[in-house]
Amino acid sequence: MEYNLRDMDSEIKAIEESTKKLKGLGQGIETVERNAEAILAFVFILKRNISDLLE
Amino acid sequence: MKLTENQYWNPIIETLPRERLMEIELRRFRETLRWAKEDSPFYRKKLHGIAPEDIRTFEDVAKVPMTEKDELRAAQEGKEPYLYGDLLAVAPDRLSIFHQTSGTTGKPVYIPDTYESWQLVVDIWCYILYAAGFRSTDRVFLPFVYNVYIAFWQGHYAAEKLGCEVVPGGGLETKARIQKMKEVQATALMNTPTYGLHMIEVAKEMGIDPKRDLRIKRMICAGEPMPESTRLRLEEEWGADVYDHIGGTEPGGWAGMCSQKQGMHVIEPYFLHEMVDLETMSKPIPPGVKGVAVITPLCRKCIPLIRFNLKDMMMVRKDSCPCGRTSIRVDQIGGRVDDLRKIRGVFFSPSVVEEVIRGQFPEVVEFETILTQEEVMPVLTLRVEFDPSIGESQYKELRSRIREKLKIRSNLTFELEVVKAGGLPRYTLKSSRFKDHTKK
Repeated sequence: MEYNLRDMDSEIKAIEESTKKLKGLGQGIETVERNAEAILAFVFILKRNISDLLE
Repeated sequence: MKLTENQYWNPIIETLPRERLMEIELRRFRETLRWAKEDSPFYRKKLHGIAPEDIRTFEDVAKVPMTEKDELRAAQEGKEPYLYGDLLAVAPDRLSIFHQTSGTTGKPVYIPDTYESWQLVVDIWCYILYAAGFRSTDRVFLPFVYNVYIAFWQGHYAAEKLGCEVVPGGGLETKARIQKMKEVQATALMNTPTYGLHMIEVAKEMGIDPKRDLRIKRMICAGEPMPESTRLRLEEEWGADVYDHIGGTEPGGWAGMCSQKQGMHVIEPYFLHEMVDLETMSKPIPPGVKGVAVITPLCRKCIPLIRFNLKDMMMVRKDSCPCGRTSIRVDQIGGRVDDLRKIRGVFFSPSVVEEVIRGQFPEVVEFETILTQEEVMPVLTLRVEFDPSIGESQYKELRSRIREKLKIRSNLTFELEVVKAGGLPRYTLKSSRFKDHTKK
């Protein structure tokens, strides 16, 4: 199987960006803020598992 | 990048060339130092004068002071914020889970995680479980109340993340657990080696042969070191593939066995692993030499741990692994440095008793080693409990053979005492089969 690290990294960054935007839009709504935080925790792991490997 | 087999949790990281892994580890080590110095009062003081940007090689890493467990205790004792003191490197309102060490060697150390750092701990355990063959088709049984100890919490959440169906088997007696495993047809088990052996004993009393009557195909052990003889005995009695892993509350799980079952792969580049010699406890040693392991978790941002002295005796293997993983592999050899004793001029590690008993004497159900002092001479006594099916007529021959094998393995003479059935303690989590009565 072929893996394209750069494309995966771009998607991870896009998720991070849109999640931060969602968190901002939902500021004051606990369920939006907490779930966005949870998504960002998984983004953190994806960045270590994938993005960090780019030269 | 091209890969064919789906045997890795992360096929890219797990097959990276070593040079690349080492580059990433050095970069992450610098980042960890920077963060620790900025956000943890303990490390700000301890690492004063050390510039993260100056760490360019593994030789530079070895110049950074090690962290000892006693320092962690002192940094928490009586300091704010309550429980975690000077070690904490995140705002307290970000914490989401609490764990603590068992307190075997002193006052417990408290190790919390944020939601983010906990998810990372769990993901690292996924590497361990996946290498041990755990898959989404498994129904995993955990026969424990997890309490405040990290091991089975990590295992539980990692199995769940892998897509396994997790059956928490706490709050039951051993017999009820065995019945439940049979009822749900569990295919995988997480266990301490000690409890794995105990369950065999109880299952047999119930007329259940684990190999024949249960469906456990794989088991991963946690909570205590497992000599190879114990692992093989568990495999034989359970009819399952049994895997070991290494971890602790402070660093989390950090190494695990793959299908080759030859040593444990360090989960790189999430940990920077070093070995130092037994004598100085600071001089780096090469692969193939027995020493003490030092570990730095590299991405778990809550309580930093820089060059933590694990005090576990190990050896890095020289050979590469046929599984294709490029991470280094370690063998646990000889137990903990804290348990080493010099008896009549000979270094003695209690783990050799377990190696001999579990490897060569299936007639022994339970045992404990006691060190006492009689006048000036230290005396080692092995207390054994034989399988009830063993007739007393066999005791004499068994006693003599056990003493002989222990003498060959340890170069020490043991007194031997036979204890009646059920007379020795049974352990579930951490076993304590060595008792030093010479200590005041």
